[in-house]
Amino acid sequence: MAPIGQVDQQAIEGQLKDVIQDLYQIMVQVSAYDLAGRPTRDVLESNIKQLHRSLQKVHTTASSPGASLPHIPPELIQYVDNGRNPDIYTREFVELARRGNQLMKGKMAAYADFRDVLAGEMGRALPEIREDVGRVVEATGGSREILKEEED
Amino acid sequence: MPGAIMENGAGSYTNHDRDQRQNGVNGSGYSMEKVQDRGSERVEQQQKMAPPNSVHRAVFTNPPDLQEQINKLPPEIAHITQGYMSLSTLLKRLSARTHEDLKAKVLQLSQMPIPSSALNMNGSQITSVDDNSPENLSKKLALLNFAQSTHADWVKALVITNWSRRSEDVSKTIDLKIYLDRQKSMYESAIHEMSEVKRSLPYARMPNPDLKTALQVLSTGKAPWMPELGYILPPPLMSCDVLNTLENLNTLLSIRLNLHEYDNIPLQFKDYTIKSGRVTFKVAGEFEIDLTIADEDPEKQFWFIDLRFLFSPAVLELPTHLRYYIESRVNAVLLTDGLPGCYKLLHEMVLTHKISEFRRQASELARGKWVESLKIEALNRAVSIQYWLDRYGAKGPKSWIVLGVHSGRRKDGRFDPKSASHLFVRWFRDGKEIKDADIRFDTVSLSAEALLKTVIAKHVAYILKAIHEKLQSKPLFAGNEMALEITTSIDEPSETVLKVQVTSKQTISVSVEPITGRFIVGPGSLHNMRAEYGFNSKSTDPANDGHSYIEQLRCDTAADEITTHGLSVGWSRIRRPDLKADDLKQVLPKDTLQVAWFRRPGWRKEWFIAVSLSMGGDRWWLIETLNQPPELTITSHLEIPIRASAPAPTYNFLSTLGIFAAAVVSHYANLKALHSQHAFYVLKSSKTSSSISLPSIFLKLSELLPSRNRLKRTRKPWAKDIVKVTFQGLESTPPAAVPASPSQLELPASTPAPDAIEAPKKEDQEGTLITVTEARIVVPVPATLSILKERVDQDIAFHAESGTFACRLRSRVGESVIPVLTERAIRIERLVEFVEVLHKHSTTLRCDSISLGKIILLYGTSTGSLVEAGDSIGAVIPQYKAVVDFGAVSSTMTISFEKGNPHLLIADRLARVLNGNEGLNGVAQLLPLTLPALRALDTIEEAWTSLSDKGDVLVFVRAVDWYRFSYSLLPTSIQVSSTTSPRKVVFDLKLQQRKGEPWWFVRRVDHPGKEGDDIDALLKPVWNSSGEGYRGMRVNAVAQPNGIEELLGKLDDVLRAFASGYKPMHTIGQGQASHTPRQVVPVATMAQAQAKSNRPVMSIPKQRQQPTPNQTQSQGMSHSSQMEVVEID
Repeated sequence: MAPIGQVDQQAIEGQLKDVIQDLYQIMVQVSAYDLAGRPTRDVLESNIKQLHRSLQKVHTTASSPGASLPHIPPELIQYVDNGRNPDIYTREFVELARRGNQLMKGKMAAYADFRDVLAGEMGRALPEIREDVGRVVEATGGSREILKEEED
Repeated sequence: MPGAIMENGAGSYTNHDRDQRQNGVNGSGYSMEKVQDRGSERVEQQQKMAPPNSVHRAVFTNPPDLQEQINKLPPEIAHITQGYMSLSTLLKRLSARTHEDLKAKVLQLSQMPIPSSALNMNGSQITSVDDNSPENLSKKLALLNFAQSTHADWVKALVITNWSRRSEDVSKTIDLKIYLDRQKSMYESAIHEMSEVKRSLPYARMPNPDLKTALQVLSTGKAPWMPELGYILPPPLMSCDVLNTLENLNTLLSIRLNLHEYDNIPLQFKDYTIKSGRVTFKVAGEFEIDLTIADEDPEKQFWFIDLRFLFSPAVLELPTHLRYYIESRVNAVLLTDGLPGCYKLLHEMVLTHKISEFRRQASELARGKWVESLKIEALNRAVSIQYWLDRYGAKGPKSWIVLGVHSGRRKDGRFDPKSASHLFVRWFRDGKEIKDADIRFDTVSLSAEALLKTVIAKHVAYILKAIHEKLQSKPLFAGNEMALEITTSIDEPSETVLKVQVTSKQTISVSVEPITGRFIVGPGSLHNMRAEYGFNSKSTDPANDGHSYIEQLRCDTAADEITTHGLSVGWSRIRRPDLKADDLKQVLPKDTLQVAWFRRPGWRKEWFIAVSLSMGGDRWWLIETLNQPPELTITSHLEIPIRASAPAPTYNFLSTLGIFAAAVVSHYANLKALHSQHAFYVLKSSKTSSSISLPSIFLKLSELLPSRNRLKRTRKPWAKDIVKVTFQGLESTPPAAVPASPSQLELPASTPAPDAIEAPKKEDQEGTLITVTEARIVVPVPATLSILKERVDQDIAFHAESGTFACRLRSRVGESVIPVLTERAIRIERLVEFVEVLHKHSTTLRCDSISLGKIILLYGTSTGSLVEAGDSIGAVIPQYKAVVDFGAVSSTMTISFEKGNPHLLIADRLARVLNGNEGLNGVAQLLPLTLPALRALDTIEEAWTSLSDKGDVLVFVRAVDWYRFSYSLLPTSIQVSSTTSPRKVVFDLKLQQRKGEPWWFVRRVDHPGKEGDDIDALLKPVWNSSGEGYRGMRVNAVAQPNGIEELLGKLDDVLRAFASGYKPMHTIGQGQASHTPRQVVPVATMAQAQAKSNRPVMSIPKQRQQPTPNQTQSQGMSHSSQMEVVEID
């Protein structure tokens, strides 16, 4: 993993977790309110204050000019918002890229073959343009050998 | 590219330089890598600047060294950042929102009601067991819900943040995927291109030459593998065979047409010829078609050979492609429908062709000669040609024709074999179709221009005929006063001309220009131009309103002509006086279009002549106006009666009219004056000249004269009661000789040139026209008037035989002659009276000259007194002359005498008599009667002139026939006298009547005493003497007129002698003998004449007496036996 921005990433993650924790604490305190009498009230109060602070921290971190947080594709936000796993999104893309890569590789090989065949045929059928064909083959990554083979 | 998937996120911060710098600060441990990264990143950035789909990426070949590029994105992979959200923004927003929500929630909670238990609890700090109060629960719930939802949000945010660690890699993956997708599509398009090439290859192919066969054929002449069909050549055609065949064909055709097809041949195909193996059907004006047959079977069809058009212009020979087309169509139709179908097809084709030919020609016209006035529109089959484009503006009515095909069907829809469809023109004139227009045009030699001209000619004829019709109904043209002529042409619109005679001399022609439809009014003149403009610019429907322009033009022209002609004969056209239009309307006829106003110089200002011009004829009006300061009103109007309804304004006419109008004006003024006097009058026609007829006025003299046509003396009418007043003519006087008023025309004849004596009026410089009127008064007693001269006056003539006075009356135009006439009549009355008087006294008076103004009487010679006078004075006593002047109506008559006339003494008295009841008659009586006495007195006075030192004599006139003369005798040295004062001796001389004869009665009135004095004694012989015509009456004497002179002479002698101091020695008898040579008139004794002979003569200074009023005491005798003196003011 790239270390750059890792600090921010870590920090902001921690802060987020704090916020979540605070919220959780509030929920717990709310549900447990009154049972314990006066202390719960103070605890809730402090919890809320804590939440406030945490939020402030998040905000400060996020809005600090130095913070280098990455950009997120909007599709991902929708993904998460709908309660789906963002990793699926990642995986999907990886999958797509992989498949496309393989396909391309195959296609390239096939086309290269086709090119060679076509070039050979053309060289034979239209000897007057053989030079040109050769240049095209060369430019597209083939070799003139093919033509020469056919000539013989 | 297999190496496209990269695990390393080295390039993750490629798009933010700042971030890298920060990173550098924060994590210096990675500086080495960062430097490296930065370098690569710049390259990448530069590449990113290029458009994402830049072409050079496509031709990029595989990078040779993948490893070097492993940490960087290869340039051909585009980095996608569009639409990416910043995580920091997300978190910022989330925290801010949460914070806000929290604040709101806390506030909300704080506002929620706190349960009482809780309050208590707060106070006591004692933990309650359960707070299950609803307030508490809802509070908790609210807080919980908030916390929960916020929690969920934050968890999501944490997940995203967690994930974002990998976002760099994922981003790259995405880029990679997109790159791969693009590559894929490029391959697909390559396949597509190839297939395109494949598809286009067949056309690029060239068949291979069949070299093998060619070689075979060329070398051996035949190729065994080629098939041999084995055709047999037909025998060559011989001309006789051809002829035979053709003749055979002719026969067959003839048979077929006459037998089999006879009923099928359409009517239009009846004209055919069979020749050269073909049948030629000829449809006149359309086409000619050659057909033939190919089979003997009559059921088989005819075949097309050739087609020729029989109209012009048309192609002489069909172009090949057309021929093919027509041939195939005709053959097809011949197969299905036979000859009728063939005819129908060709006929319709020809019609369409003709229409298009028309269209072509029209289009050519619209581009050429008729440019901008034609609009050609091709309808389905027909063609519409609009002509006179924009003639009436964009909104005006349009005119067009539609050339189409009439189906030729009968109206009941049944098929009529004889009628075929034909060309047909529908004409829309001004937007309306004219159904019954019979438009003929040549369908054989087609000419669009001829067609248009025909239609336009009809249109023009329609317009002009409509105008013609409208004008024809006008009285001016209906009565053939003016000529109206229309010439129409069927096919040449410019030859359709409407000729209108506008005045007696001018004729205008109205025509329409065919191409533009604009009117042309000729010949060119200002008025015509104006009318033309009106026609072309204002009128949108000349057929309906066009006549009004012509009418206007006529009126303008006529007014112009009247003005020009009138100017030469003295009419001056003036602007319309400031009259109210309503007033004029009442006067002038309703159809008046224009009014021209004229005035004659020399007329009175209030008279105008107006010419009301209308199509009903021109009428001439005399209009009298009254100029009251605010406005001018018409006081009266007269129409001048003229026979012709539109008289030609020739010079002759106008000058006659001038005279006539003046006559009418005067006539009118006369009648008005008569009417105002309530005088009765009768009009009777009389002719004064050939062109003017104006009735004479007959009026009653008795109503005109103050004297009621009765002579004062006789109480009888002196003239017939009828006066005829006739207009005679006009005189114009130069401005220098304008009579100031009519009365001054009536100066006595003796004054020279009455017309020329008046000073010119300043305000009337243009001269004045004088109407001359003749009045005739018939006097019933011509015998007495025979002494009148033929021309009594300059203006009065007398015809003795008929006893008619003719007076020439002059007055300004518009002024009545009636006052003048009255005055004249009064004077004539006087004249007649005088003449009668003179006639009565013709023994004593002689008329020297007589005129309306004065009479000169001569007297004193007709009796014996002439001889007597000649004896006494010793010279010829001239005739005495009395001038009776009765110049004016108002003033009294005067009588005047020349110097030395004895009547000067009583001139004033005579004048009084003259103006009194007796009038001239009295004067005429008195003149001879008093002459001897007065002459004697005159003589006495003259005699005493030389004895002025002895005394003088004074004559007093007490009445016209009563004189008193007194001697005042100065005492002389010889005479012994007690008194120094002059002694007065007064005699009274009075005319008295005895037995109807006049007698002078002379007596002494200063009686000194009973016994008398010395003068009485001296007078005694006189008083006692008597002689011819006189008789002494002892103390006084009487004398007849012929003796009075002698008597007075004797008396005077006595007194002169007395004054001179000696007694006359002669006796009465001697004196009587010597002084009375004439016969003695027997006289009756009236009084005793007393005479005393010796009296001292006293010289009395001579005092010339003038007949002036201050010397004549007005001790008039109020009554005398014969006369009455009434003083006249």
